[in-house]
Amino acid sequence: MKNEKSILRHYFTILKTSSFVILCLLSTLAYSKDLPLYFYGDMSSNEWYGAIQGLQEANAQGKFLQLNYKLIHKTKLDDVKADKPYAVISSLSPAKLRQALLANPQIPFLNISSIAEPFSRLCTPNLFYIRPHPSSLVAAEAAWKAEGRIEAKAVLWHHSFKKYAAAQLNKRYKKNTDRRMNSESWSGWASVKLFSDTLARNGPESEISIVNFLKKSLAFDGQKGRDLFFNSYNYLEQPLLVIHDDKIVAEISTSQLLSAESGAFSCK
Amino acid sequence: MKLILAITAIIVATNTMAATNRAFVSNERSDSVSVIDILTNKVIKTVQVGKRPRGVGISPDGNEVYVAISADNAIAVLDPVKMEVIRTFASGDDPEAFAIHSNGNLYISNEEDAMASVYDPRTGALLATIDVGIEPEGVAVAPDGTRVAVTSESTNLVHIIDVPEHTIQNNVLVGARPRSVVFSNDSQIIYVTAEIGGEVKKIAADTGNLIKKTTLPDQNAKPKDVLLSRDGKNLYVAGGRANKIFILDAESLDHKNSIPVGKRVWGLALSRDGSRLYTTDGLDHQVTVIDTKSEKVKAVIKVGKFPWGIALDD
Repeated sequence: MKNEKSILRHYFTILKTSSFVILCLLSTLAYSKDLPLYFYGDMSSNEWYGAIQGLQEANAQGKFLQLNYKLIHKTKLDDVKADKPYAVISSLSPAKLRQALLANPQIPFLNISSIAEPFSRLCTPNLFYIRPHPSSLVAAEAAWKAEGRIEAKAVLWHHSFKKYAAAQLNKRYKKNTDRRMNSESWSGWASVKLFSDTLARNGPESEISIVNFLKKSLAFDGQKGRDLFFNSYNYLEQPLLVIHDDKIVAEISTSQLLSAESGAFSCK
Repeated sequence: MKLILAITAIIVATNTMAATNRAFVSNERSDSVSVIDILTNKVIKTVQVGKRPRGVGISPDGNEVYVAISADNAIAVLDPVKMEVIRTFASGDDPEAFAIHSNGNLYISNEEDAMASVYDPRTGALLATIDVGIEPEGVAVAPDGTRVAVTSESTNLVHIIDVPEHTIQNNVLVGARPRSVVFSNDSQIIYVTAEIGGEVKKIAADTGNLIKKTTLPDQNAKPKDVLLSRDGKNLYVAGGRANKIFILDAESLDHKNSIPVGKRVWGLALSRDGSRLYTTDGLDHQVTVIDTKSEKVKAVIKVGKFPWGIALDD
């Protein structure tokens, strides 16, 4: 009996999650201006589910502004040049994106992978890093421990975060996917949201390139309570959450952590 | 219809019962309302109202006080004289803020439903629902009764809605996390606060066009409530974690003065004659009373935990 309930629950969860994805994708059909975003990465990943949540919320704004975002899963990077999507979201290694990046300088690539690159390779103008450089996470943990505190882990997001309407985002995501939002899903969500909000403000037909607008005029808080922005390496400056025993014990900003790690190096 | 609404507004304004001279303060974490005698600045009663009280307002005739009890998905109705809950009515999921039309109807932001709803508080009847952006928050009714504005916090929009049609006339992109909105006295302009970036925008209500914007002169400013002085010349902005009230010139949005108050100042209310501004200071569990002429703090009154909203019956 217990086993049957478990199976039923499992199928219900799959049905709910699939319905959410299908509804999100179908909801994009009704509006006037289609704005395709390409996604490169695993469709069963938290990043993908986060991006789908971001798509739903982007279109919740877009329906009032006659903008219709479409998230399209892709595998061939050559499609970027052929189709010219408005943005590329990728959880692939940045090294794999290199050729596509250079061939399409007007298209922003939003990198949501956690794979580190050497600082000397960071300065591609149209590559934006949603997750902090791994050295920032290490630096945040070291800064926390430096004052004799308990061991803790620095992350982008945590399911128990409540401030700045984070609780509502966690609740929406859990309701739609039956998963807890974590750093991976937050980075997927944030990539779509920050791009869609930027496009809405800039206008899809604007003369100003989206790459420039993202760099200079981003107005996005990521439910973290402050203006996030891309630094000179195109890393998204943001508060990190310090976690101990599955609880948030501190918030530390990435500001200064990256520059401390990278020394005098700068893209400028 | 619009003429009828305007006439109703005038009739209601001249047909109110004698004021109790009380302030009603919702305490978000005490599940209560503190009642303050505004002649003595003393708390005279604390009323348990329901879970997570936030938005608070008084009916146009002064006979009832409404409190959004968010976690109970309801509105509690208090008798301002007896200072007790006389009834509650269901108001949709997670009512946060609301504004009261001169015809007595409540325009409520339902945070979790991405919806604004219209209720008749006398009967508890749901009259209309309006789809808005994610996490709607601030609500304002134009003084002439012909429009309502609703901010959606996670969609960064302010929706300007026609009354009584309840159709959206304009959707205006504003700063990140818009919190509160107020109409000018002639109903032609709206002022919107956006928490992230400490921004205030002045927008033409009929076109949705941006007239001016400003950033508050304090990097800690996370503006929440916004109110206009009775003469329409000054804009009062609750600065959130800046722990200040910012006074802006309503025409130019130039910063005129800042008044330090308690921690995380959130809600605002102005006395009928405009001489006193009341603030709820959430983290200090207090209400601050400001003399608007001298722009000095006149009194500080301890209330319940995390005071959120405030309404005056004066």
